[in-house]
Amino acid sequence: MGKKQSISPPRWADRFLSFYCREEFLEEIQGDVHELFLQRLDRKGPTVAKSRFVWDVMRFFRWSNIKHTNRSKLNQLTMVKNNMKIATRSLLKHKFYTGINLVGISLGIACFILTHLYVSEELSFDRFHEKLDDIYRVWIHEVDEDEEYFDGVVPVVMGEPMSSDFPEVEQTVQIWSGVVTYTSEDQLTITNTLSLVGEDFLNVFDFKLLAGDRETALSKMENIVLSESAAIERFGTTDVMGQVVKYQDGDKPLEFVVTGVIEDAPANSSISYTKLISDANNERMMHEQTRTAWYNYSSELYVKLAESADPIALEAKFPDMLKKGQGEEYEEGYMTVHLQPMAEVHFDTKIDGENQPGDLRTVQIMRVVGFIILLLAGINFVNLSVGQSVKRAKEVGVRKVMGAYKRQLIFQFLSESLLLTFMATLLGVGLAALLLPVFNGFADKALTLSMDFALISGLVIAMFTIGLLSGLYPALVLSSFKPVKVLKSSLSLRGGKNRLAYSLIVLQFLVAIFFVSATVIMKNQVSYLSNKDLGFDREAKVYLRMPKPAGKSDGMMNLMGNNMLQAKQFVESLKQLPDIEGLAVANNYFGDEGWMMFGYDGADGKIEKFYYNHVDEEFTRLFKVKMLQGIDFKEGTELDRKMGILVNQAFVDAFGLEDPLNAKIPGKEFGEHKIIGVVDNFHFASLHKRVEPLVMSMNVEPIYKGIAEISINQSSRATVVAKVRLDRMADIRSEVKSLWQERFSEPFELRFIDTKLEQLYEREQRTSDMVTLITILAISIASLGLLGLAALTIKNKLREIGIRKVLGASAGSIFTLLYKIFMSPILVAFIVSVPLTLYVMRDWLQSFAYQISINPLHFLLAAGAILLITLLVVSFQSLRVARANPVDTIRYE
Amino acid sequence: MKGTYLGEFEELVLLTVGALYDEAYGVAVMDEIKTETGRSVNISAIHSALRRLEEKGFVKSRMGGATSERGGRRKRYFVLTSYGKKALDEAQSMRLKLYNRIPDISFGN
Repeated sequence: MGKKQSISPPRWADRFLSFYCREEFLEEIQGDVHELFLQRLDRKGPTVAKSRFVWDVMRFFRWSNIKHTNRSKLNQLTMVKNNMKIATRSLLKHKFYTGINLVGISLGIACFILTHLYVSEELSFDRFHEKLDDIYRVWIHEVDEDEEYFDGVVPVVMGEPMSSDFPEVEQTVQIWSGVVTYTSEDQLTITNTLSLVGEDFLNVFDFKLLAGDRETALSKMENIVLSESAAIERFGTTDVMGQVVKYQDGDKPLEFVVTGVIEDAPANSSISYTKLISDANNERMMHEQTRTAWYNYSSELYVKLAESADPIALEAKFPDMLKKGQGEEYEEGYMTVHLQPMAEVHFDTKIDGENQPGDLRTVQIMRVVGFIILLLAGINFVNLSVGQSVKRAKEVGVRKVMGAYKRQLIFQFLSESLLLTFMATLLGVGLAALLLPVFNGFADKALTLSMDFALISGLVIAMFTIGLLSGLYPALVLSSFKPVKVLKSSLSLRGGKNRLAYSLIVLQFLVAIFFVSATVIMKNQVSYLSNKDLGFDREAKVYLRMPKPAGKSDGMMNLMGNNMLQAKQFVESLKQLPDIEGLAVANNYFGDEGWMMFGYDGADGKIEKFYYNHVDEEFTRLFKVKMLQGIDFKEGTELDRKMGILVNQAFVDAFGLEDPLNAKIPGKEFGEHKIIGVVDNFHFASLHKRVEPLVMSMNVEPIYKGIAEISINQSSRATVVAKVRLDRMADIRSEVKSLWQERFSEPFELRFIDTKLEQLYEREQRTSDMVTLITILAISIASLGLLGLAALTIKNKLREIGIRKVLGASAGSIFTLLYKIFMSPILVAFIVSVPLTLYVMRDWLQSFAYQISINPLHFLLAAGAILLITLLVVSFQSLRVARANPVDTIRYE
Repeated sequence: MKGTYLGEFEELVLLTVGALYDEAYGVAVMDEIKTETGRSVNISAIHSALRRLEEKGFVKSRMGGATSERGGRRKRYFVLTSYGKKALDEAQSMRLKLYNRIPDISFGN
């Protein structure tokens, strides 16, 4: 027998047996057939044994052995069907409450979906790169005495040693943006940004290449890979392989051949691109300094490490690289190079990168808010069904008399609430689809309603939780009524129920008040930012950036000088336009994160820093910057214009100048200069930061001599600023344009400084907008709940009101009675909400250097708003009752 | 009335259960019937019969201990109840009574 042990009965038959056979018989039956099989195997061989086994299994397939789930299921199905029928009837009967619940829950669900979409997109950033765990962003940490900088943009020159000096680094990818132009068919000059990336770009990152070869697409200098939309923009089709693309880089013509088409950069990618070319172009497209200077931070750099590599050990080797690269200029500990895992790039706000970082806090807030709104909707539902349930007591009594079990009653109530939540969920999905475009506008996203697993499971869980919770309480309470008691007298549910309902109402008001006051505070802060007196006049100012000066220029200083000259010439020609009321030139203008910053070796060897702007004599006048001491350039002599500098009050304070007009910048190397005036602190950077020391001069030379380093946030191209007559704007635009085109071939871009300034607070504006949207949702849901609750309360008090009226109560006193019921939860909620709001909003305000102070008015405003809504809702409900003829209400007994 | 009636096959199974005493389970009953009567019966029929008998109260069953053969599956052992024994007795005596009434003459030859 032993040798045949390995032969087993046909598995399918065995499985079939286990499939159909009732649990309680399975073991014995299976045991017997297996025993028979072994017997027969021994005596008659495997073929007979197997076929007999199958036969036996078939013979056992009879009614008494088959699982009887079908029969019992059928029975339950009938119950469910019946429950559904009753549920539908009862929902239809109470249209008002059904409507309120349906709207409330579907709003909650819609909000939940929207926040989920937002959160999941934010969290999915960059996750599509397969090698994500091995990809790091290179960033630079600069430490100074009292300041430090985190730069996500690094010198181009670092790419080379990074890839060749370290065996751990398998691939490096630089991403450098170069601006080029081309002339379109209708003779318009169009500006494009090309990304100069390493050959490995396509291998390190997992962007989908739609055409072309990953390995070779970027291997040559003449190759270009276009994104889908770039291809369509230029050629009207994505079938562009082998096409020639021509560009103009200043006066240099460039020609590329399309060797690949790549998907558009996904919305959840930290790296964006439209046109990729090889870093072999570095030489011909970058300024020499850009390419070779260690102080010129202009390229993003990503590295892909070997799987086993330890980034920390690698970081420890970087100082040597710097020492080697910078030679004599190397300064111990001043600049350190670090690696940041790519997975952390999106939410990093510390390191200044090329992309707007995601706001982890907003993501967390959104996630919580989604739940809270859903919770609000759920609370409504619970409250209303609890209130409603009293009315169903008689129905329950009759059912019990007819012999209904407690369990059946529970099921009946549950199916009712589940049916409602199910419908609400469907509605909610529809609503979310409708609201999505609006939400996208607020959140500045392009989200689509894709039903992924997480969302669907979330919805199902939400649906069941709301359905069960709201159904459970009435189900349990009602089903345990003593039928006789219920049928004999009208039953009142006091005590326990009320306490639950009360705390739920308080919670709801709490959330509503919190959101309203948060909105008020945010709106105030944002409007404070955009209306704050910035210390300069921003009305009706337009700006126009000069093109890069023609010809070769050596060094930053010459470049700036030439550029300035060019701007001045242009200004001369603009002066003939009558509608321009004032003109000035500067190489930094308002609305960018910061002006250029100079650093120099201070008296005691530490690095001192100040911001700098290269201006003309009109600049301070045009922007109406207040002079505190001394004179401005306009009043100054020719010598003042050449040697003079203007500083701001912050500069005076920071360097402790007692008599600024006779002082100099406290540094040794500066050229001959003189402080001719002190200007008031005007906000040249965003209000997130305090006003920093600033120097302005008409001649950059003396300053330039003394500085050791420059950090530039924006290109230092000279910019012409003009004050215009707004009503003539259209004419001005075309006149300036024609003058521009006479001189320059570069594209013409005239913009308002106002608009630019507003962009500084775009993020805050957006958060505030989103919170407003949420507040509106929260208030609508809360008011819906209130409406339902008020209706219920009043209905329960009909008789009391009737009697009061008979006894001579006025409509007014009836109103007061009803209002009082809702006053106390509002009061409690208000008291609790104040510290909560203070805590949360103070934290938010911390991100601004200039902030409004939270004052009681904000809270009173919020409480007032909620109170008003409550009054409206309650009045709406009580109006009828207060006016009703008492006879109608008390005659039923 | 249903429940007391004992079919021919049921009676045979019941007898076998009684005869096997403590060792009566599906396959054993089947084998025993095969050896004693030469009747080849499908195992499923035995199971049904046994279950019917148990419903009628003629036998009772218990699950045996785990076995080393048949994949460790336990056997359900059946034993005759006193009620079952009584039913057998009744069937037997009825049969005997009728049998005894057969005239003692030679048949045919």
